[in-house]
Amino acid sequence: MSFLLLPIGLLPTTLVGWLALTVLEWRTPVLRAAERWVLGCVLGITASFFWAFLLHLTVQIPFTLPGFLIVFVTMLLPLGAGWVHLQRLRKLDPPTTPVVLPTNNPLPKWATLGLMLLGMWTVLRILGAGMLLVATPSFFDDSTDNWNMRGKAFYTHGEIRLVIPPDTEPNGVSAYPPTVPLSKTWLATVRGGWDEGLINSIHAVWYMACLALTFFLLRRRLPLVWALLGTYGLASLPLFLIHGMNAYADVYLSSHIIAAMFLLMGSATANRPETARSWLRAAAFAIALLPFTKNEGLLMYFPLMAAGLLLTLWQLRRRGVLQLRDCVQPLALLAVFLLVILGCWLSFKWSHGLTFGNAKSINTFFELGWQEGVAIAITINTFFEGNWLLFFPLLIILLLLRPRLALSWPLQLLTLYFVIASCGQLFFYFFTPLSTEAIMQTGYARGLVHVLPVAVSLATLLLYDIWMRQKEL
Amino acid sequence: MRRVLLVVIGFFCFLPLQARAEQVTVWDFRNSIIPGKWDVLSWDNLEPTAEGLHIRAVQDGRIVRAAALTHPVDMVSFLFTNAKPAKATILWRTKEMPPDQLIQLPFSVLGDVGREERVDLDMTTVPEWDGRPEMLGFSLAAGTDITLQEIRMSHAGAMDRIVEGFRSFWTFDEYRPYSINFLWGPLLTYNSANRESLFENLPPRGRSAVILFYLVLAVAALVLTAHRLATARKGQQVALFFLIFLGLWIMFDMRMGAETLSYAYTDYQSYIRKPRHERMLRTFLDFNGAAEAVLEEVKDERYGFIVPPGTLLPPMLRYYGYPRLPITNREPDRSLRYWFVFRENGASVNEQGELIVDGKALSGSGEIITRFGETSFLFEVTR
Repeated sequence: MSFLLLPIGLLPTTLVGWLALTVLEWRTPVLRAAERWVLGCVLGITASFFWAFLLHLTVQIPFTLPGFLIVFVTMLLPLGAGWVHLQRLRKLDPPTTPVVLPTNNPLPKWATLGLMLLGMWTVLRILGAGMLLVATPSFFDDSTDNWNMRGKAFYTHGEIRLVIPPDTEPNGVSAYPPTVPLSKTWLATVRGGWDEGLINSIHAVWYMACLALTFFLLRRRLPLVWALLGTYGLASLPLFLIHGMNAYADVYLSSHIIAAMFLLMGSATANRPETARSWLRAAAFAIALLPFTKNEGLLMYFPLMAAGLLLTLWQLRRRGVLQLRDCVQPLALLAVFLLVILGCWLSFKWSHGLTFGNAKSINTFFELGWQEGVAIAITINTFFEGNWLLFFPLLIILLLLRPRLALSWPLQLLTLYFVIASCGQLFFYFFTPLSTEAIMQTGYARGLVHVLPVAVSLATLLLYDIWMRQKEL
Repeated sequence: MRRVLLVVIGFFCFLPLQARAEQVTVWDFRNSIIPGKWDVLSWDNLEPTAEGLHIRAVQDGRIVRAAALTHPVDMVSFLFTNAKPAKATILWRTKEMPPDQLIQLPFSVLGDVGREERVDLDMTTVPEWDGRPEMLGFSLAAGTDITLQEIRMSHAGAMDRIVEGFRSFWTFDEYRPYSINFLWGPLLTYNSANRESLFENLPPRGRSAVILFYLVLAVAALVLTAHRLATARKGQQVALFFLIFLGLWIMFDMRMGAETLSYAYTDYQSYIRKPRHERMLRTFLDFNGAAEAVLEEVKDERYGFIVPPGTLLPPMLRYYGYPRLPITNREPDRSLRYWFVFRENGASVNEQGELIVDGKALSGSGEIITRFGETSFLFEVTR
């Protein structure tokens, strides 16, 4: 029952994230309370443990209780001061207009009952999978070789360890950012000992955050029923649930991607420059954290999201919402965040000779040549197994029925992000030795897990449009 | 819309459904009967008995006969009794093959003296089986001592296949090391033998049931498109298509969700509610309970860990016991005080009290201080 310490462990990191977002919003709050708390939870964990990593490298702060307290105090004090100052300034501002959400049309009783039953079924499934997460030992190899193993090593020694016996030099897993292991180190520190249930329970937080952020993204654009339907769609995907309820880092990365996309989508439809800037500042923060999540976050998802930010700025300029000088602030903020986060992380990697690939050297990515067997393996995994239910056929049908809508603003952000990320990965599977990850059905599915909340959001928005149009006929 | 539904229902009513039940041919060897004329090679001491045909194979041999079947065959079942463990082969020849050739497919007899044992062979999964063999029989290796009671050749009727298909759709896999990478999902198979061992052989011998969802969607799309073209009332067809899609999605979700809950139920029954020494965790069986007990006892920095090669257990034990390090190289090391042996058939303690693995003495003299099973124990060096 140690996992009940989880809320205590998450309190300081969530507070860091919440305060950071509040300060970034400055005098134009754009987030609803629940959105800010969930985003704060996700982004705060990564920001906190980046700061812990930085202090550990620079001033040798150990990964002990006093060390972590120093980390949190050095974050919370300036953020808290900023928040206090902000409250004074906001008192001078006119009251903010509450966010107006799309109206709900009343549902027939059978539909309401159906939705409730689906909701209960979903909760039951999540609880069942959650029991596997907290009540049984870590089972899969990446948990015991990488995420949990490194967390335990950091906790045992109070420092970053790149070499874990019986290895005699850093292996592939040491190349991953230490965020997820450090979150476990912190939870073990809170408890005063290593407890499987507690240190694994954080993965359920990231899974629930993915569901919540997908719901928030949809709710801002759709009636409640449709937002719930889209969230059910994501929650019903079996392999996403299995990943979310195991000590793997793919749903953790997924939560960061949907967080950044949520903020970017918020800015995409802003009508006033101060609102747009507020969204963009928060988005810059979320995007800058991507390189410190997983190697794929650095190599693939961060560049795409940064491109999405540039595209958004261009669109807002084109629509006349932002002037050129308004674009400087989010870009400058992104540059500052990246200088610190990316600069620190890349320096660490280079100085320790760590790889940039997915536990494999990135040099293997450039040995190009057609790889046999990949097409059939990907087809089976995507369309004929139990991993994704009928999601990808649905998405394809929707994109074929509504291509213009999918490429119109702001859905373009979701479409381009998903298509480029997926096609980019397919290229590596079809043409490089990374093909074994597809043929053996190991790494391929994880690439889909990363972008599923984005893809499900896109599918729901397209489906809603089709449904509403046919109602008009 | 009523017309659309009538068209759909009518389409399925006119599907050619065969109403015949299962078709079976049994060659019964009990009561000293030899059904048909058999061609025997290398055995001259076959003994018809009341229990069946007693075969004591002094050397490798075979027995075949003309099949002369009146129906196709999906499954061939052998019923043995008084068998010792044996290796056998089913033999057959199709019409297209030369008369001197036979195809063979090996199978095992587990052996249980005094009891009947049925071996079911699902021949639909064998590419060389055409369902209508011209010759059929079997071979046994030298040293086999077995009594054959019957050979049963069956062909499932349409309803049987539907029932088995439905049951196999709801047959769940276990939570395995590959479950983090993919889930097989619902599979279809058409006989009980295959269904009962569906996920024991990998890849499973069954077709993905997802193809049925696609068929339903394709039919729905065709019918609704035809209706849309034929009627002035446009719009409902798209909505109906997506409602059908939602229905299939929910059905698929029920299936996969039930499988996830089955994982939870199995773990609750076999691990969570059990005392430590009785816990079984999925494919790792009793490893976790044994490891926990070992790590409570062993406080040394290094200890030996002997486990059959190729398992995922060494890194798992390293993680559980960190910073204590399991040494897994199976080499002598007299500096190690403790040795954790897990499911290693060849490990033993010799007269000098040394731990013997692969014919080598790995340790100094000591004793087994805790047993976790016949082939699992914790050994401590005492001298």
